[in-house]
Amino acid sequence: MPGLSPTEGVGFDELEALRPAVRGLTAHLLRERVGHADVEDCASETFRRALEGRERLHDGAPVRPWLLGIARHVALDALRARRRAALRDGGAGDELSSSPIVERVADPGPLPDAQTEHRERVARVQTAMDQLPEQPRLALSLFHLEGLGYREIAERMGVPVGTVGTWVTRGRQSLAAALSENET
Amino acid sequence: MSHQSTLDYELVWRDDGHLTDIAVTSLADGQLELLPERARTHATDCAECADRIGAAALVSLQAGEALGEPALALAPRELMPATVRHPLPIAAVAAALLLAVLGVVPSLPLLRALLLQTPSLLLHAIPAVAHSAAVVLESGGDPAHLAVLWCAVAVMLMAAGLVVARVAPRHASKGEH
Repeated sequence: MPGLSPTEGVGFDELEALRPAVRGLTAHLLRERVGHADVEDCASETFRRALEGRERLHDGAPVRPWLLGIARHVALDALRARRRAALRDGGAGDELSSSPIVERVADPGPLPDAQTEHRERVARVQTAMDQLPEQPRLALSLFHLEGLGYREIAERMGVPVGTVGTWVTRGRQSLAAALSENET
Repeated sequence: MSHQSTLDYELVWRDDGHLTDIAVTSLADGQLELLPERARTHATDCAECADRIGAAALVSLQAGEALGEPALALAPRELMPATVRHPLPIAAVAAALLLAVLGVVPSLPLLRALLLQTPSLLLHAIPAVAHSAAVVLESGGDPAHLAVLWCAVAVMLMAAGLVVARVAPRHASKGEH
Protein backbone atom coordinates (compact mmCIF):
# COMPACT_ATOMS: atom_id res chain seq x y z
CA MET A 1 0.00 0.00 0.00
CA PRO A 2 1.43 3.36 -0.87
CA GLY A 3 1.69 6.01 1.83
CA LEU A 4 -1.51 7.48 3.12
CA SER A 5 -2.67 10.65 1.54
CA PRO A 6 -1.94 13.70 3.68
CA THR A 7 -5.49 14.78 2.98
CA GLU A 8 -6.89 11.86 4.94
CA GLY A 9 -7.31 14.16 7.91
CA VAL A 10 -6.85 13.86 11.64
CA GLY A 11 -4.77 10.92 12.74
CA PHE A 12 -2.73 10.65 9.56
CA ASP A 13 0.56 11.28 11.29
CA GLU A 14 -0.21 8.87 14.10
CA LEU A 15 -1.27 6.16 11.68
CA GLU A 16 1.76 6.70 9.48
CA ALA A 17 4.10 6.61 12.48
CA LEU A 18 2.78 3.15 13.26
CA ARG A 19 3.35 1.75 9.77
CA PRO A 20 6.63 -0.04 10.74
CA ALA A 21 4.88 -1.56 13.76
CA VAL A 22 1.89 -2.72 11.71
CA ARG A 23 4.05 -4.28 8.98
CA GLY A 24 6.37 -5.85 11.55
CA LEU A 25 3.53 -7.20 13.67
CA THR A 26 1.88 -8.71 10.62
CA ALA A 27 5.13 -10.24 9.38
CA HIS A 28 5.86 -11.61 12.84
CA LEU A 29 2.45 -13.26 13.20
CA LEU A 30 2.40 -14.64 9.67
CA ARG A 31 6.03 -15.74 10.04
CA GLU A 32 6.86 -14.15 6.73
CA ARG A 33 9.31 -11.45 5.73
CA VAL A 34 8.16 -7.90 5.19
CA GLY A 35 7.53 -7.49 1.50
CA HIS A 36 5.77 -10.88 1.27
CA ALA A 37 2.47 -10.44 -0.54
CA ASP A 38 0.39 -11.66 2.42
CA VAL A 39 2.14 -9.29 4.80
CA GLU A 40 1.59 -6.30 2.56
CA ASP A 41 -2.03 -7.30 1.87
CA CYS A 42 -2.76 -7.60 5.58
CA ALA A 43 -1.06 -4.28 6.33
CA SER A 44 -3.11 -2.60 3.61
CA GLU A 45 -6.28 -4.16 4.98
CA THR A 46 -5.40 -2.92 8.46
CA PHE A 47 -4.98 0.66 7.28
CA ARG A 48 -8.12 0.43 5.17
CA ARG A 49 -10.17 -0.58 8.20
CA ALA A 50 -8.48 2.06 10.33
CA LEU A 51 -9.19 4.81 7.84
CA GLU A 52 -12.79 3.68 7.47
CA GLY A 53 -13.33 3.48 11.19
CA ARG A 54 -11.22 6.30 12.58
CA GLU A 55 -14.21 8.58 13.00
CA ARG A 56 -15.59 6.11 15.51
CA LEU A 57 -12.48 6.37 17.64
CA HIS A 58 -13.36 8.36 20.73
CA ASP A 59 -11.79 11.76 21.13
CA GLY A 60 -8.47 11.39 22.86
CA ALA A 61 -8.53 7.61 22.61
CA PRO A 62 -5.10 6.14 21.90
CA VAL A 63 -4.61 5.23 18.27
CA ARG A 64 -1.72 2.80 18.80
CA PRO A 65 -3.50 -0.05 20.65
CA TRP A 66 -6.51 0.35 18.40
CA LEU A 67 -4.49 0.13 15.19
CA LEU A 68 -2.24 -2.67 16.44
CA GLY A 69 -5.33 -4.55 17.60
CA ILE A 70 -6.76 -4.33 14.11
CA ALA A 71 -3.44 -5.49 12.65
CA ARG A 72 -3.35 -8.47 15.00
CA HIS A 73 -6.90 -9.37 14.13
CA VAL A 74 -6.32 -9.13 10.40
CA ALA A 75 -3.17 -11.24 10.64
CA LEU A 76 -4.90 -13.91 12.72
CA ASP A 77 -7.74 -14.02 10.21
CA ALA A 78 -5.16 -14.58 7.48
CA LEU A 79 -3.57 -17.38 9.52
CA ARG A 80 -6.94 -19.03 9.97
CA ALA A 81 -7.65 -18.73 6.26
CA ARG A 82 -4.33 -20.45 5.61
CA ARG A 83 -5.30 -23.19 8.03
CA ARG A 84 -8.63 -23.75 6.29
CA ALA A 85 -6.93 -23.83 2.91
CA ALA A 86 -4.36 -26.30 4.21
CA LEU A 87 -7.10 -28.53 5.62
CA ARG A 88 -8.96 -28.43 2.32
CA ASP A 89 -5.79 -29.52 0.57
CA GLY A 90 -5.21 -32.26 3.12
CA GLY A 91 -2.07 -30.54 4.31
CA ALA A 92 -0.73 -29.22 7.58
CA GLY A 93 -3.90 -27.60 8.88
CA ASP A 94 -3.54 -29.30 12.23
CA GLU A 95 -0.05 -27.91 12.56
CA LEU A 96 -1.30 -24.41 11.93
CA SER A 97 -4.34 -24.79 14.17
CA SER A 98 -2.17 -25.84 17.07
CA SER A 99 0.29 -23.05 16.40
CA PRO A 100 1.12 -21.58 19.80
CA ILE A 101 1.27 -18.10 18.36
CA VAL A 102 -2.42 -18.21 17.45
CA GLU A 103 -3.37 -19.28 20.96
CA ARG A 104 -0.96 -16.85 22.54
CA VAL A 105 -1.97 -13.69 20.75
CA ALA A 106 -5.67 -14.26 20.10
CA ASP A 107 -8.00 -11.57 21.41
CA PRO A 108 -9.36 -12.49 24.84
CA GLY A 109 -12.76 -13.90 23.96
CA PRO A 110 -15.86 -14.39 26.10
CA LEU A 111 -15.24 -18.09 26.75
CA PRO A 112 -14.44 -18.91 30.39
CA ASP A 113 -11.08 -20.47 29.50
CA ALA A 114 -10.00 -17.38 27.58
CA GLN A 115 -11.14 -15.12 30.39
CA THR A 116 -9.28 -17.15 32.97
CA GLU A 117 -6.14 -17.11 30.85
CA HIS A 118 -6.48 -13.37 30.38
CA ARG A 119 -6.84 -12.81 34.12
CA GLU A 120 -3.76 -14.91 34.79
CA ARG A 121 -1.81 -12.95 32.22
CA VAL A 122 -2.94 -9.67 33.78
CA ALA A 123 -1.82 -10.89 37.19
CA ARG A 124 1.60 -11.91 35.85
CA VAL A 125 2.09 -8.55 34.16
CA GLN A 126 1.00 -6.66 37.25
CA THR A 127 3.46 -8.66 39.33
CA ALA A 128 6.22 -7.94 36.83
CA MET A 129 5.31 -4.25 36.90
CA ASP A 130 5.44 -4.17 40.69
CA GLN A 131 8.92 -5.65 40.58
CA LEU A 132 10.27 -2.97 38.24
CA PRO A 133 12.31 -0.08 39.64
CA GLU A 134 10.20 3.01 40.24
CA GLN A 135 11.24 5.08 37.25
CA PRO A 136 10.84 2.44 34.52
CA ARG A 137 7.50 1.54 36.09
CA LEU A 138 6.43 5.17 36.00
CA ALA A 139 7.60 5.55 32.40
CA LEU A 140 5.59 2.51 31.33
CA SER A 141 2.54 3.72 33.21
CA LEU A 142 2.76 7.14 31.60
CA PHE A 143 3.08 5.54 28.19
CA HIS A 144 0.35 2.92 28.51
CA LEU A 145 -2.12 4.52 30.87
CA GLU A 146 -1.76 8.24 30.15
CA GLY A 147 -0.90 7.82 26.50
CA LEU A 148 2.16 10.07 26.61
CA GLY A 149 4.90 9.83 23.99
CA TYR A 150 8.55 9.30 24.89
CA ARG A 151 9.31 13.01 24.54
CA GLU A 152 6.44 14.00 26.80
CA ILE A 153 7.51 11.42 29.36
CA ALA A 154 11.07 12.74 29.18
CA GLU A 155 9.84 16.27 29.82
CA ARG A 156 7.54 15.15 32.63
CA MET A 157 10.30 13.15 34.34
CA GLY A 158 13.13 15.57 33.53
CA VAL A 159 15.36 13.03 31.81
CA PRO A 160 16.77 12.62 28.26
CA VAL A 161 14.49 10.88 25.81
CA GLY A 162 17.12 8.15 25.42
CA THR A 163 16.73 7.34 29.09
CA VAL A 164 13.00 6.97 28.63
CA GLY A 165 13.65 4.67 25.68
CA THR A 166 15.97 2.57 27.82
CA TRP A 167 13.47 2.35 30.68
CA VAL A 168 10.59 1.44 28.43
CA THR A 169 12.66 -1.17 26.61
CA ARG A 170 13.94 -2.83 29.77
CA GLY A 171 10.53 -2.67 31.42
CA ARG A 172 8.92 -4.17 28.35
CA GLN A 173 11.45 -7.02 28.39
CA SER A 174 10.38 -7.87 31.92
CA LEU A 175 6.75 -7.74 30.89
CA ALA A 176 7.48 -9.92 27.85
CA ALA A 177 9.03 -12.53 30.12
CA ALA A 178 5.93 -12.40 32.32
CA LEU A 179 3.66 -12.71 29.30
CA SER A 180 5.51 -15.74 27.97
CA GLU A 181 5.45 -17.64 31.28
CA ASN A 182 3.72 -21.03 31.04
CA GLU A 183 3.75 -20.85 27.27
CA THR A 184 5.45 -23.54 25.36
CA MET B 1 16.63 21.48 31.69
CA SER B 2 17.59 20.95 28.08
CA HIS B 3 17.64 17.49 26.54
CA GLN B 4 18.10 16.08 23.09
CA SER B 5 14.77 15.30 21.48
CA THR B 6 16.05 12.39 19.39
CA LEU B 7 17.91 9.23 20.28
CA ASP B 8 21.69 9.33 20.21
CA TYR B 9 23.52 7.36 17.53
CA GLU B 10 24.70 4.64 19.90
CA LEU B 11 21.15 4.14 21.14
CA VAL B 12 19.94 3.58 17.58
CA TRP B 13 22.56 1.36 15.93
CA ARG B 14 24.22 -1.88 16.96
CA ASP B 15 27.75 -2.72 15.88
CA ASP B 16 26.41 -5.22 13.31
CA GLY B 17 24.44 -2.51 11.52
CA HIS B 18 21.01 -3.51 12.84
CA LEU B 19 18.80 -1.46 15.12
CA THR B 20 19.19 -1.63 18.88
CA ASP B 21 16.40 -2.90 21.12
CA ILE B 22 15.71 0.69 22.13
CA ALA B 23 15.22 1.77 18.52
CA VAL B 24 13.08 -1.29 17.86
CA THR B 25 10.89 -0.58 20.90
CA SER B 26 10.57 3.07 19.86
CA LEU B 27 9.40 2.07 16.39
CA ALA B 28 7.00 -0.49 17.84
CA ASP B 29 5.57 2.28 19.99
CA GLY B 30 5.14 4.63 17.04
CA GLN B 31 7.87 7.02 18.22
CA LEU B 32 9.10 7.52 14.67
CA GLU B 33 10.20 11.10 15.19
CA LEU B 34 12.87 10.04 17.66
CA LEU B 35 14.80 8.20 14.96
CA PRO B 36 16.89 9.44 12.05
CA GLU B 37 15.66 8.91 8.52
CA ARG B 38 18.22 6.18 7.87
CA ALA B 39 16.92 4.14 10.78
CA ARG B 40 13.35 4.45 9.53
CA THR B 41 14.42 3.26 6.09
CA HIS B 42 16.31 0.38 7.64
CA ALA B 43 13.21 -0.61 9.61
CA THR B 44 11.26 -0.76 6.36
CA ASP B 45 13.82 -2.73 4.39
CA CYS B 46 15.43 -5.08 6.92
CA ALA B 47 13.37 -8.24 7.46
CA GLU B 48 15.18 -9.12 10.68
CA CYS B 49 14.58 -5.73 12.29
CA ALA B 50 10.99 -5.62 10.99
CA ASP B 51 10.32 -8.93 12.69
CA ARG B 52 11.83 -7.64 15.94
CA ILE B 53 9.66 -4.53 15.67
CA GLY B 54 6.64 -6.78 15.17
CA ALA B 55 7.48 -8.87 18.22
CA ALA B 56 7.99 -5.69 20.27
CA ALA B 57 4.69 -4.26 19.03
CA LEU B 58 2.92 -7.45 20.06
CA VAL B 59 4.41 -7.29 23.55
CA SER B 60 3.50 -3.60 23.75
CA LEU B 61 -0.08 -4.39 22.76
CA GLN B 62 -0.44 -7.27 25.20
CA ALA B 63 1.25 -5.38 28.03
CA GLY B 64 -1.08 -2.45 27.43
CA GLU B 65 -4.10 -4.72 27.51
CA ALA B 66 -2.92 -6.33 30.72
CA LEU B 67 -2.26 -2.93 32.30
CA GLY B 68 -5.73 -1.70 31.42
CA GLU B 69 -4.79 0.51 28.50
CA PRO B 70 -7.94 1.78 26.87
CA ALA B 71 -8.06 -0.20 23.71
CA LEU B 72 -10.16 -2.28 21.48
CA ALA B 73 -13.58 -2.10 22.95
CA LEU B 74 -13.58 1.14 21.02
CA ALA B 75 -14.42 0.07 17.55
CA PRO B 76 -15.41 -3.55 17.14
CA ARG B 77 -16.57 -2.96 13.60
CA GLU B 78 -12.98 -2.57 12.45
CA LEU B 79 -12.34 -6.04 13.78
CA MET B 80 -14.90 -7.66 11.56
CA PRO B 81 -13.65 -9.25 8.38
CA ALA B 82 -14.34 -7.31 5.26
CA THR B 83 -17.60 -8.58 3.83
CA VAL B 84 -19.33 -7.88 0.60
CA ARG B 85 -22.97 -7.10 1.09
CA HIS B 86 -25.09 -8.69 -1.58
CA PRO B 87 -28.48 -7.08 -2.16
CA LEU B 88 -31.54 -9.29 -1.69
CA PRO B 89 -32.31 -10.82 -5.11
CA ILE B 90 -35.91 -9.64 -5.11
CA ALA B 91 -36.60 -10.53 -8.74
CA ALA B 92 -35.29 -14.07 -8.28
CA VAL B 93 -37.27 -14.56 -5.07
CA ALA B 94 -40.44 -13.26 -6.73
CA ALA B 95 -39.94 -15.56 -9.72
CA ALA B 96 -39.40 -18.53 -7.40
CA LEU B 97 -42.55 -17.72 -5.43
CA LEU B 98 -44.53 -17.37 -8.66
CA LEU B 99 -43.30 -20.74 -9.88
CA ALA B 100 -44.20 -22.30 -6.56
CA VAL B 101 -47.72 -20.88 -6.72
CA LEU B 102 -48.14 -22.08 -10.30
CA GLY B 103 -46.94 -25.52 -9.26
CA VAL B 104 -49.50 -25.69 -6.49
CA VAL B 105 -52.46 -24.65 -8.67
CA PRO B 106 -53.14 -28.10 -10.20
CA SER B 107 -53.29 -29.69 -6.77
CA LEU B 108 -55.53 -27.07 -5.20
CA PRO B 109 -58.62 -29.32 -5.32
CA LEU B 110 -56.68 -31.99 -3.40
CA LEU B 111 -55.45 -29.37 -0.96
CA ARG B 112 -59.02 -28.36 -0.33
CA ALA B 113 -59.95 -31.98 0.37
CA LEU B 114 -56.96 -32.35 2.71
CA LEU B 115 -57.93 -29.22 4.60
CA LEU B 116 -61.45 -30.52 4.96
CA GLN B 117 -60.11 -33.80 6.35
CA THR B 118 -57.76 -32.16 8.85
CA PRO B 119 -60.28 -31.73 11.68
CA SER B 120 -61.32 -35.35 11.49
CA LEU B 121 -57.66 -36.45 11.34
CA LEU B 122 -56.94 -34.44 14.47
CA LEU B 123 -59.98 -35.87 16.16
CA HIS B 124 -58.62 -39.36 15.58
CA ALA B 125 -54.98 -38.57 16.25
CA ILE B 126 -55.41 -36.79 19.59
CA PRO B 127 -57.22 -39.68 21.31
CA ALA B 128 -54.68 -42.12 19.87
CA VAL B 129 -51.77 -40.11 21.31
CA ALA B 130 -53.58 -39.68 24.61
CA HIS B 131 -54.25 -43.39 24.78
CA SER B 132 -50.57 -44.16 24.15
CA ALA B 133 -49.57 -41.76 26.90
CA ALA B 134 -52.05 -43.34 29.27
CA VAL B 135 -50.66 -46.81 28.52
CA VAL B 136 -47.12 -45.61 29.23
CA LEU B 137 -48.20 -43.96 32.48
CA GLU B 138 -50.15 -47.01 33.61
CA SER B 139 -47.08 -49.18 33.09
CA GLY B 140 -45.10 -46.85 35.35
CA GLY B 141 -44.57 -49.60 37.88
CA ASP B 142 -42.67 -51.70 35.35
CA PRO B 143 -38.97 -50.70 35.47
CA ALA B 144 -38.19 -52.59 32.26
CA HIS B 145 -40.70 -50.54 30.27
CA LEU B 146 -39.47 -47.32 31.83
CA ALA B 147 -35.85 -48.13 31.09
CA VAL B 148 -36.68 -48.76 27.47
CA LEU B 149 -38.66 -45.53 27.36
CA TRP B 150 -35.83 -43.47 28.84
CA CYS B 151 -33.34 -45.00 26.43
CA ALA B 152 -35.59 -44.24 23.49
CA VAL B 153 -36.00 -40.64 24.65
CA ALA B 154 -32.24 -40.28 25.11
CA VAL B 155 -31.58 -41.64 21.63
CA MET B 156 -34.14 -39.23 20.17
CA LEU B 157 -32.57 -36.29 22.00
CA MET B 158 -29.12 -37.26 20.81
CA ALA B 159 -30.36 -37.63 17.26
CA ALA B 160 -32.03 -34.21 17.47
CA GLY B 161 -28.84 -32.70 18.86
CA LEU B 162 -26.76 -34.19 16.07
CA VAL B 163 -29.18 -32.86 13.48
CA VAL B 164 -29.06 -29.39 15.01
CA ALA B 165 -25.27 -29.48 15.24
CA ARG B 166 -24.99 -30.45 11.60
CA VAL B 167 -27.57 -27.99 10.31
CA ALA B 168 -26.88 -24.94 12.48
CA PRO B 169 -24.32 -22.43 11.17
CA ARG B 170 -20.95 -23.10 12.66
CA HIS B 171 -19.79 -20.47 15.08
CA ALA B 172 -16.08 -20.13 15.16
CA SER B 173 -14.14 -21.03 18.19
CA LYS B 174 -12.17 -18.70 20.38
CA GLY B 175 -11.34 -15.39 18.83
CA GLU B 176 -12.92 -16.14 15.50
CA HIS B 177 -15.73 -14.18 13.96
